This record gives sequence, structure tokens and C-alpha cells, in this order.
Amino acid sequence: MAITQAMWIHGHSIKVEYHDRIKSIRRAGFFARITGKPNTTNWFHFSIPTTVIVNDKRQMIDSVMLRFRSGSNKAKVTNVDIYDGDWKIAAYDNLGLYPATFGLQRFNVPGKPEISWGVGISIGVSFTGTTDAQNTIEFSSAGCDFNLFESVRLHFKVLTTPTVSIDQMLASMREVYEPVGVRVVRMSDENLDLPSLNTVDVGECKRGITTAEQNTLFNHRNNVVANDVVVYFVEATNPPYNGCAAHPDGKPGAVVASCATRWTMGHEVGHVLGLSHVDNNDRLMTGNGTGNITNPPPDLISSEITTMQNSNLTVNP
Amino acid sequence: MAISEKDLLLALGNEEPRYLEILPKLDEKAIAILSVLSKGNDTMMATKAIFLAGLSKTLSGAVIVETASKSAVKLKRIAAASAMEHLPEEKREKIALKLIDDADISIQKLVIRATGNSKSVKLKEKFTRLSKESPSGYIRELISALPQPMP
Repeated sequence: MAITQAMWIHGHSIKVEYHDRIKSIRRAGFFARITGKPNTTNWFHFSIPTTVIVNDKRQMIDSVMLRFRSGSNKAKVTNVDIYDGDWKIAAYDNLGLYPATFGLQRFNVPGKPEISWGVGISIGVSFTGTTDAQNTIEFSSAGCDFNLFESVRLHFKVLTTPTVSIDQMLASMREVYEPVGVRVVRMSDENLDLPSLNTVDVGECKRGITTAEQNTLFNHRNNVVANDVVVYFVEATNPPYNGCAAHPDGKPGAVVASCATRWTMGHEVGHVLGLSHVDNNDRLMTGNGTGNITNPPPDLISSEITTMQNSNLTVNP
Repeated sequence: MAISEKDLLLALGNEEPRYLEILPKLDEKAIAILSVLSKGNDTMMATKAIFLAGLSKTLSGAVIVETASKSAVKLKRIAAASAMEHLPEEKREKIALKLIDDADISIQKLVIRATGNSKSVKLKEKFTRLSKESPSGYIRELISALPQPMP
């Protein structure tokens, strides 16, 4: 999957947020060398030149990269926040990075959002050394990769909040889908007060066959357009399943039960996109239960990726 | 051939277990495994085990369902309510009499569907009371839609 744009900016373009907390900043041809005052924290910012539209296609951010090195483990990068204009699109907190040599540190942007306003990278650094040498950090470069992903657009309709949070299920699904070029877009969230469908009859849960209760539930498609997929979070299914992807014609979606695993939503949406069970616990579509996945994140193989790309529910950029 | 413990766990671990395919492979040893699973902390697995136990139509399976109907874990009671329609009538009515008093609409719905045609006087009394007093319009309608006995 080739990237569509790669934008970089040199380290000596770095901006310091709190000047009174640094002892010195030297901009050289090689890098910007910053020495922090002992026992301070600070933020440093890079503005990445951002071509938001290329050939009439709005670009999607894949990841950002930093090249930096530290004088010691007393000058640590603790945070990397990524912004599109004023919108924080990713946050890496509680880091403790102090590479001794310049390398490339990549920070993935979950959800691969479309970019509108320009990418900013904010870097939190703590200086806890007692000498200048210990409190020195050098930034060589910062960059950003952009791409165009096929997208599956999800709407969440919640009858019961699941034990594994929806955020966690979505993050887990993205762990599997994004590396194969399928972006998972969270389009909307809605709570549904439908106690009579909270344990929903799904029969034998076979593709193309739905119960009266499934038909009623899947009629709830507020704010959903034709090729969007709806995930209904219910307390339980009757009979008990982790989830069920059987859906009425023209109303693509799945139900996910409250005790489902972190991988169940990705698995069920995989069925909606046309995938079938396999006897392999390293793969998302295992028929032995996603609770038995042995090598997370589970895999999608090339034939499955082709099936997903050929689905009319994955939208070309 | 009877199913091994490993295969039973894998079959139930499936996101969408094929209960009817597992059913012919169940023996008493497998039912004993279902009993252990039904009492375990893995609620998803427990609910699947409870349902399959009911489907087995065995005495020991019925015991598993009855025990689950008294569980403090609501999802296990829901699974018991799902399973009870497969139990012998006498056992089904005994469990229904307990579960119909559950405040949960899902449980009441499943009980009414499984025992709506019951001749049990006690159960009919409970249905009549619910048809008048249930705060859920859905439950009241479900009961009123039950076939009336011949005069």
C-alpha cells in the first residue's frame, strides 16, 4: 500500500512553548539542540506542511514520525500529540523515549482521519537531570505520511453498553483492518431505548435469514446511508452468541452482545463484508472464537482483503 | 462419537456456536463440562453452556438450566430463559414460575414465549397479574396476544 504524500520539516523549525524553562536553544544545520532547565517539563511544536487535497482527493493521515536523540535518560519525550488544526487526532502519553542516536520513531494515527487544516505535532519533554549534558535533546526532523484508504463506515446503536468498551472494540478492529488498507470510520453513536429487543432473537444466525426481531431492530437506521454498516450493541442474543451478522437485505449490520470480546465487532463486520469462518486461531475470522485468538492482533489474508475491497460496503476514497 | 473437552470448548468459543451440530455429540461427560462452564466466571461461555444444556433435553442438562435460573448473574438467567423452552414441560414450568418474577423484560419475554400455552394455574395467575400490572406495555401486549384457552 503506497503512501500518497510524505511531508517533512527540518528540526531547526521547532517552536518552544515555554521559553523560560529552557536554558538554551541552538539551531544548527544538523538539528535544533535544546537544553532544558533541571526539573522542568516543556512542549515543543512542529508544523508539518500539509497538502490537504491532491488530485481532488482529500488526504488521510497515516502516521507521523520524529527523528531525535537525547543526552541521557534525564531528557525524555513523554508525550506526542498530533493535531489537525485545533482538533487533536491522536495522543501518545506516558512515553519515556530517550534514544541515544537519531532513529525514526513512528506514531500511528488511529482511524486515519481525513485532514482539513494542517498537521501539528506537539512533543512533551521532561528534563530531570542535574547537568546540561543530561538535560539536552536534539531534534533533527519531523514528518507525516498521508494515504488514501478504502473505508467502512460504522454507526453504533447502543441498547446496552458492552463490558469491553466500544472504544476498545473499535481500536481492536482498527488494529486489524488498517494495516490492510481498510479505514474504519465511526460515523455516529446513538442510544436506543428498546428493552424488548435487548435480548434479540437471532435464530440460527445464518446469512440471509433473519427473525422478526432482527428485522425490527435493523429498521433503526437514523442518519445511516445505504452502504453504511450499523452495529447494534445488545445485552444478549437468543440463543447466546457473541454477535450475529445476519441482516435484512439492504440494511447491512450486525448485533454484538454485551459479553463479546474485543475482536467480536471486527469479526462480525468481517462477515457483513462477506468473510466466512476459518479454522485458524491466528485469524480474525476464526470459527473457534475470537476469545481463543493466539497471536493478537489477528490476521486477514489476501483473499479476505480482496473480498472486503470488492464489497460495496467499503467505500473508495 | 462423543465430543472431547477441547473440541467442546472450541465449539462453544465460536462467536456463533452451531448448537445443533454440537448436540448429537454430547454425552454425560460433556454435560458435566457444561455444568462447570455454566458456573464459571466467563459469562459468555457460561451462557452458551446453559443454552446447550437445555437443548440436550437430559435430566442433568435441566439441572444446569434450573441452577442458572437462580443465578445472581442476569445474563445467566437470560440464558436459562432462552434454554427453558427445550425442557420437559414439568421442569419448564417450575423454572418459569421462578423466572417470571424477574424484573428484567428480556427474561419475562422469553418465559412468556416458552410457556404461553402452559396449563399451569399458578403460571396463568402470574401472567394475568403481569397483564394488568407490568410497567412494560410490551409485556402486557405479549400476554394479551397469547392464545386463549377453549371454554
